[in-house]
Amino acid sequence: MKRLVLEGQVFVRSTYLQYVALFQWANPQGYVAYKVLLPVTQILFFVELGVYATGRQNALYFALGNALQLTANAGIFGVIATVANERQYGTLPILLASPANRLVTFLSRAFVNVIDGIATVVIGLAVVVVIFGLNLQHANLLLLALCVVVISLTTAGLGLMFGSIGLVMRDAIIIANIVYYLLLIVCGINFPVSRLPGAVQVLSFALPLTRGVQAARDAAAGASLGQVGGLLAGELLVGLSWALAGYLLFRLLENWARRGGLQEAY
Amino acid sequence: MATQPAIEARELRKTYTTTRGVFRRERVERAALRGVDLKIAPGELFGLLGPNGAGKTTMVKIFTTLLLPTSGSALVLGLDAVKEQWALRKRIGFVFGGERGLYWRLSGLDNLRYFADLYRIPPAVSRRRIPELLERLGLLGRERDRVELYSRGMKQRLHLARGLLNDPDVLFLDEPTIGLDPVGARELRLIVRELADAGKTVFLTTHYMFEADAICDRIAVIRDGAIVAEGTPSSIKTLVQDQGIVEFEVVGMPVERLAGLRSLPGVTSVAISEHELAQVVTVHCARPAEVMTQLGVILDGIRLEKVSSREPTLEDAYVQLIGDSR
Ligand SMILES: Nc1ncnc2c1ncn2[C@@H]1O[C@H](COP(=O)(O)OP(=O)(O)OP(=O)(O)O)[C@@H](O)[C@H]1O
Ligand SMILES: [Mg+2]
Repeated sequence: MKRLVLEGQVFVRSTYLQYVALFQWANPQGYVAYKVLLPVTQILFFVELGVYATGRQNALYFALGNALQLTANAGIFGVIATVANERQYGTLPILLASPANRLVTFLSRAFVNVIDGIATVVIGLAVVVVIFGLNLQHANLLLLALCVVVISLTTAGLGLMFGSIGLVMRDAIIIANIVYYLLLIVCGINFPVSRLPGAVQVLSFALPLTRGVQAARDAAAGASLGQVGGLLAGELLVGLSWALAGYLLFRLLENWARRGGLQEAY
Repeated sequence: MATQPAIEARELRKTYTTTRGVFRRERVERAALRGVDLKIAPGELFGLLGPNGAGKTTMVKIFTTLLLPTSGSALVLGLDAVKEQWALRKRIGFVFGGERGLYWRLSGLDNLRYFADLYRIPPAVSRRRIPELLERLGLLGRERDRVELYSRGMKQRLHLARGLLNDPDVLFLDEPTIGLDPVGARELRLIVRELADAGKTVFLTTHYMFEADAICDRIAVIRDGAIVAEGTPSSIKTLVQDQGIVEFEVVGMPVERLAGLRSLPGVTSVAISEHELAQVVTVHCARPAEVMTQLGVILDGIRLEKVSSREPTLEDAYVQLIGDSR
């Protein structure tokens, strides 16, 4: 028990230090400004676009979807930025020559971004409530909160994949940008998945957010855990798969680096 | 063989393969180590001396498990750097020269805490050891400042503190004094010497022969991926015995008088050049002091001017060993 507490303390401390060392925001004002400005602009843009195309009655559909998708901003770009900073500081060789547990080190890189993702969505939802008058009176708030946590985890899982790619590719951020917009299109944020062509739907269900956002929409409309449990489990499984794939890629690159590749990272 | 070497390389080779070009991929091979054999005893301060691109960093990377050799073996504390990397990583420390490798937004103290966690050092131990290291490396008082505010020398000492967090038996230092001013470099060298005196095995690479001469117990000179000389600093100097010099000027001396000089023991050459009315005589020899004492006897009655002499230095040895590759 005492050991566990110690381990917990160490984990909390190194997460905090990582947050200060690697997180992109040097001062809190910049962070808050960004976190409020980003959702307002993104949500407004897609809501207006959606309303223009389909009519005013759908405004909330777009608003809610975009607020939830914002978690990808933290989950994907946050993780990539973390790795890019590590590379910039030249701390990667130290990490790779240390006896540190790889899985823990790897996953902990995403932890801060999961928390950041949750914060982003909460701010996004607040924006939607204030500006678009989203009514959460009938919503299952606890379940909605759970959904937010789950999609923050799963998008960070996908982010870890890009974090690994970022180890060897300076331009991982470009791919991440493409994926970020892909998520906006194929994950039921701005178009119902059922309207997408069959082949694209396969992609939708292989990506995080698709099931989680559906579950969150249901929760906002008052669904129970029993009704969306399957969706959430599926969402978690997808996120976990991406994280696992990212981890395997990381180990592969680690071995490749030892053979004399991965100069970029050093 | 009495004790196991702390560090050992057997026929160590590394050939880098890189690809060039985007469309017509071309494979380029570059041999960075060409069969290196080394044995370093526990507690020894060993210096690997060599010019840019000689293979020093490559060797350090192999010993610190960051790089796999193409063939041969690298052992540290009896552990294979290729296969037993996990056991080895816990027992070695390493510092790469330069300013990279620290989290600039964290304080020095937090950097050490972070890396201590990375090395899974029990909190009870690191709580005691971190202040000790800060003290020893002269960072106490500044440990709560962010690293971006540190001078180069402070960053380098922080690097060394980080390398010592796990109280390693063997320490690898790749050009630890690079970019430091003479005073900072000297401070760092003293600390390194102290570490070796306290029983740690230190493997140090450097471009500077005086650095190696000043603190190392033993030196190897590496050139183009191969060791070209190995021994104590003074034994390496004897490789260039004939590089001592005695020089003087005479006016109107018959050249035959120099025959006596040529026959002195240790003299390898005597050269004369005309300099206006005078002649400048340059004697290459092993022991300039001995030649100096004989000058008056051999050149009795001749007026000598501007007599000077110079002992061979490690630099001469180094330049001779490295020189012909350029
Ligand atoms: N990752 C790599 N891929 C290809 N070639 C490399 C790589 N790393 C080093 N080399 C080459 O291997 C040779 C030895 O390099 P190394 O870095 O070991 O030299 P060094 O002695 O440390 O030099 P310096 O004093 O400049 O640091 C050089 O020719 C270098 O260009
Ligand atoms: Mg080097």
